[in-house]
Amino acid sequence: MTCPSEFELSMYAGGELPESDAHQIREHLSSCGTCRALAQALEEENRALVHAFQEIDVAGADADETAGSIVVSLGLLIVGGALAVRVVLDWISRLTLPSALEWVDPSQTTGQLNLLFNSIAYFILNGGEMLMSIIEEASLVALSALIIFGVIKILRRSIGTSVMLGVVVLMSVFESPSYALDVRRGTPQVTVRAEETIDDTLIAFGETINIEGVVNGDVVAFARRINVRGMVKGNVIGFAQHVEVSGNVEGDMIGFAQSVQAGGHIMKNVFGFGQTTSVSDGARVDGNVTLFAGEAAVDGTIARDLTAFGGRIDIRGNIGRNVESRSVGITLVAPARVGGDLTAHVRRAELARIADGATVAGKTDIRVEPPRPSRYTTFSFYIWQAIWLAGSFIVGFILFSIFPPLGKPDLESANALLKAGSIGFLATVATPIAAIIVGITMIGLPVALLTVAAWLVGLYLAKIVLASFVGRALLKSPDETDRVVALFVGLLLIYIAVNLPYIGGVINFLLTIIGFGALVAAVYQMLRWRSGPTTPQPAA
Amino acid sequence: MYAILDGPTPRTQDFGEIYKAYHRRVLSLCRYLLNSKDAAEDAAHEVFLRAQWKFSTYDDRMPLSSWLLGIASNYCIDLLRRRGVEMRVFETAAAELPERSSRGPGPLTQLLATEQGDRIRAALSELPDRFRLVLVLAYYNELHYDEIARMLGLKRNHVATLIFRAKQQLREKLQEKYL
Repeated sequence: MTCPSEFELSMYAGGELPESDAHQIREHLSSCGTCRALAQALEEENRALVHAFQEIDVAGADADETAGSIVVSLGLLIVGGALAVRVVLDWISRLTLPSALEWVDPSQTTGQLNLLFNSIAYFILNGGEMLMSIIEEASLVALSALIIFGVIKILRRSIGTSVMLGVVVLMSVFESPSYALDVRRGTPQVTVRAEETIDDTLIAFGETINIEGVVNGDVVAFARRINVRGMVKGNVIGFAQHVEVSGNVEGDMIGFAQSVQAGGHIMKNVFGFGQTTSVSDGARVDGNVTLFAGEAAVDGTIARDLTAFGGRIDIRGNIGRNVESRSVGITLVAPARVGGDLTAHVRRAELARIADGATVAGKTDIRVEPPRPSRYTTFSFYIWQAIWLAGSFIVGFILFSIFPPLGKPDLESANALLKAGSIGFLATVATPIAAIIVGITMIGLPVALLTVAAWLVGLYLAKIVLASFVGRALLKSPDETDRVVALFVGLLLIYIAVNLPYIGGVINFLLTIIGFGALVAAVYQMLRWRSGPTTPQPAA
Repeated sequence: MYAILDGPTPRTQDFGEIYKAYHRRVLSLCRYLLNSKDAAEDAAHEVFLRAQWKFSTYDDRMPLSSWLLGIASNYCIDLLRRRGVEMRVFETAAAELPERSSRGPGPLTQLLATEQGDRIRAALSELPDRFRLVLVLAYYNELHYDEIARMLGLKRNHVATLIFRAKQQLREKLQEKYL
């Protein structure tokens, strides 16, 4: 007999040949080693396939894989988003808060919405240009979020890679759509020599980065030490232990470093975040200077405003317009000169010193504001948080016992997250408006009241629903006994997150809308589930 | 679980138990067949709804899992049919003869044995619908060619050919990717 085809052997191996044919093949196999080996391999392959297919729990494997990482990305996105929102809010308040709106304290979470709306109203009346730049900033933030989301979704890279790629993409769009990117890496150093010109945005990584030549785009540098002695036509953004600019920068200088030193000539603004930041003697900044620093020193010339936060600030230079200090202490030493008003918020009068020879052309306003005791230092704060936590826990426990599906919101993909966020935002904003409209007619009033009540309940439950998801995801889809633990862990994390200093308020807002969205979606799903043609309702 | 099988009709809570016990398996099957996570979740949801409506038709001589997987397979096949992208699987013509039998890579036992799940999943998801479909029915549901043929409305020979070709493609995919 001639050898059977592989096809026939395959059928044979799968036990799918009729007995007569199988018998023939068996006979052949006893005499033909090649075919026997092949048939054996095919049988093994079948077993391996069954094993492989059934071992891979597609749904499960995937859920475990993504749930944890989605919580991480959720956390990162929310913290990042909250930071961005806070920075923009601060920026708004810094640049534009007119004296008429001083009563709005930007450091108080409750004042922020007032501040936002009032500021917007102010812009619409007073400054189209400022409004434009705010829209630009906001769209940049939105753009970056979208890009990072997109990168996560499309490339399915890790969150770190995605954020990096997002930043790189963003930088390339940043004010200079035509620039290409020049990425340089070097150990120990990257140097742009004096005679060298780079036409692109330069992104540099290295121990020391020296820019002595000309960069026509932005410079984004990550290094231990960054020196800009040459000419940068875009912005300089440096993350380093030490950032020093002594050349010319035509854009903004933004430094995150242990020490930030702005020298030379900076034609736009300076933002310094660091242990020590300084505008050195002989330096000239044509825009505003904003410093967040333990110690700040201004010896050079600032054409516009100076705003300082942090420990202490010493001013010896020349400031064209106003000085606003929220530092612990402020000192003006001769020959300091302030062209506009000086406003200093201090806790004790003696912390603001204006030496003889220092001049302030406008008003000098030293506000002594005794420190509010930080809420984090009071005992009752923690007690109340614990009470709220326990309350949420009990509510969540009861809620999920009665309506289990609510405890399993679908947030496991970027899409679902985005969907929940938008639904939540709409529901948060639109519900009270709809209630007001309905409530205007007398007949609609009870409906409106009920709606508002449901809305308030929903807002309260939003974070509990989210907590259940976070807890489950972190504990890797636990079974029923762990449900309680998962809820508790999730709630604890969320309570910590919303009480973080500085960004807690914004985090609270973001978590609430996402949770609200997930809740609305889950309720909708539950109603759909129930409206099926059967009367008994499955416990999902 | 036994209580359910003994009782005449399942009650609500019992069905909740069934759901819990088999949801993941049904979801996996839908995921394999439909090649999309979102679609699979919708499908699994629908499958359990259907299972509940027609629970009275369940014959308890058959394992419950087979019954559920059968419903799920039929539902997903319907979806694929409606999707209409891959009409060829449902045509009766057995045009695809295993003409390349000698050229394709041989059985990949070694590879399969050491393969990690995600690689096989990746390779599987790249196969055309008709190939993925038959492989899943044959190796995940462990159905015989006759049963697959009935389910898809094809001739038995056609199914055999499809599976043979599908395995060849799977081997090629795995080989070109990971060898």
